Amino acid sequence: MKTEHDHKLIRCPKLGDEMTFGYCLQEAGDLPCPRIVSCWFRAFDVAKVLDEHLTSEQRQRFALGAPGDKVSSLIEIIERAKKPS
Amino acid sequence: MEQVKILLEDQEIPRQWYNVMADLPTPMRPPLHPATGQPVTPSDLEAIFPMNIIEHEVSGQRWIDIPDEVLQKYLLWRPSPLYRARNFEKLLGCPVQIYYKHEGVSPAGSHKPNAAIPMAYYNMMAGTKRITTETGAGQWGSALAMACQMFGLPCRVYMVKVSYEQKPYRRMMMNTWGAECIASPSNLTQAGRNVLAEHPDSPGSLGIAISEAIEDAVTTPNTKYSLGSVLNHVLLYQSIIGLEAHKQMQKLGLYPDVVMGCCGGGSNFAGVATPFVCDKIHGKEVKIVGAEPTSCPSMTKGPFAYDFGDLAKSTPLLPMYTLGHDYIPAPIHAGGLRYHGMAPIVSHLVREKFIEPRAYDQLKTFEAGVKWARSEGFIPAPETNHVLAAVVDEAMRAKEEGKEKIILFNWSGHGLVDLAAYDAYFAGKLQAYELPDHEIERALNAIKDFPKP
Repeated sequence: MKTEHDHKLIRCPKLGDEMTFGYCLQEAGDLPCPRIVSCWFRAFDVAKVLDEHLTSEQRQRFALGAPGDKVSSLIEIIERAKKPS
Repeated sequence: MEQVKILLEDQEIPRQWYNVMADLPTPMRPPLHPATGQPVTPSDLEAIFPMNIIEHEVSGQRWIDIPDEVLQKYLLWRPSPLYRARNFEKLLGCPVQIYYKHEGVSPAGSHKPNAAIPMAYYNMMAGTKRITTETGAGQWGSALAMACQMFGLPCRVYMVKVSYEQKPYRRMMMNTWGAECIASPSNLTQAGRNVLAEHPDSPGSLGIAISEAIEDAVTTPNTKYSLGSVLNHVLLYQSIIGLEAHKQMQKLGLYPDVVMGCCGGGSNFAGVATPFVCDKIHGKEVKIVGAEPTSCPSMTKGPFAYDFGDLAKSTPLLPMYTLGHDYIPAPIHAGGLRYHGMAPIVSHLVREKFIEPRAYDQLKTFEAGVKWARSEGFIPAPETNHVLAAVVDEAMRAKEEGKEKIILFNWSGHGLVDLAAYDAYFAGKLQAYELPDHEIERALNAIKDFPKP
């Protein structure tokens, strides 16, 4: 996924490091970081960029992808780690 | 000569942590097991945490004794000084007294060791032989590396690869303290190998690094995992900040009108704030403000503070509601503080209106940080700059109201290992915010009627 904004730089509150919009777009694999709109909202019309670059299936997964509680997400990762590879 | 520092002697260090869970007027919803939908039990977390830490995570006890061995390590830099920021006050020219807890004096340069030290201790006492964790640019990883060395525990830190490469100094700190620092994704875990198989050039992410650290802990005997923010036990250990500040303000015969901190995962903010939240719950008049790193101030005002995960089950069509290009994905609807990895305790206190969240864009925060560095001398961590922007804001409000205020805030860490961020700021490389307010208002108005709980 390439956009005209990929080079723009922001302090990433998750990493504590300066990151480009291009990084934010793929932070969650084939989906953007869940924070992408709240971090970039005032810089440009990021919702429009997502609309233009995500498929409708990706948009649905992104919109539904609230991670919920930290403890619950840790348990999900634990269960995944316990499964044989 | 005017007094600048308010110090506590070693023996005046608080001997107990404060657990705000004991005083919440409304109980928090327990976390749910994702497979069963039932409340999580201690045994669900035993694969990654020792039982003594799990007990703290679920405790409703108000005061928890700090072990002597932990206190002895804390004394290396604690009690941390309370400073009066007289130079910053003069610069602002507002009717405020500004006091701050200087957490940058710790060996790791931030508040993080306040939690890392007890975590390493309790793991050692529980028989853990090795600890893993993940880190972004290394604030947490370096603090845990130091703490593990103090208690003789090997430590492996999975560091997000892009940060591993562009910010080498914190991984050098980890190595100096004896920890292994691995660029994530790595070949050491199945989670890492899966990512590399599909994306050999992956820059990594916190999600991948967490998966690697947890897989390592779950699949290696006598290995446990630690994390630096969000969870209840982390906020409990960080309460040492506010408890000391309470004593230091008492030495001055003062009580703050406003208590402030920056909110990433919530641990440093809760650390300074929860002892004062306790007072507020019991009727004391004090404003408590969390400064959050988001570009959109309206997000912190609601009406978005609902758990979208629940809503999605009842209204599956809602996330598909697209307003042309104005749709804002549901994760944002879940509320700035609730959704974005914020500590549940902090989110709960925001919902219960004990804490007021405020958002400041990054250029404003750096502007405040540079003003601070040029008046007080200490260079703040970029994260700390958010609370400095909030302090400036509060000082201006005091001036407009014509009211004197006493402000207490947490100076959560120094920026001496993060000067590349200041370099980017001075070079004009950090993204300015250009979307006009009326465009933001229009987009937000479009979704203002979304249902609330």
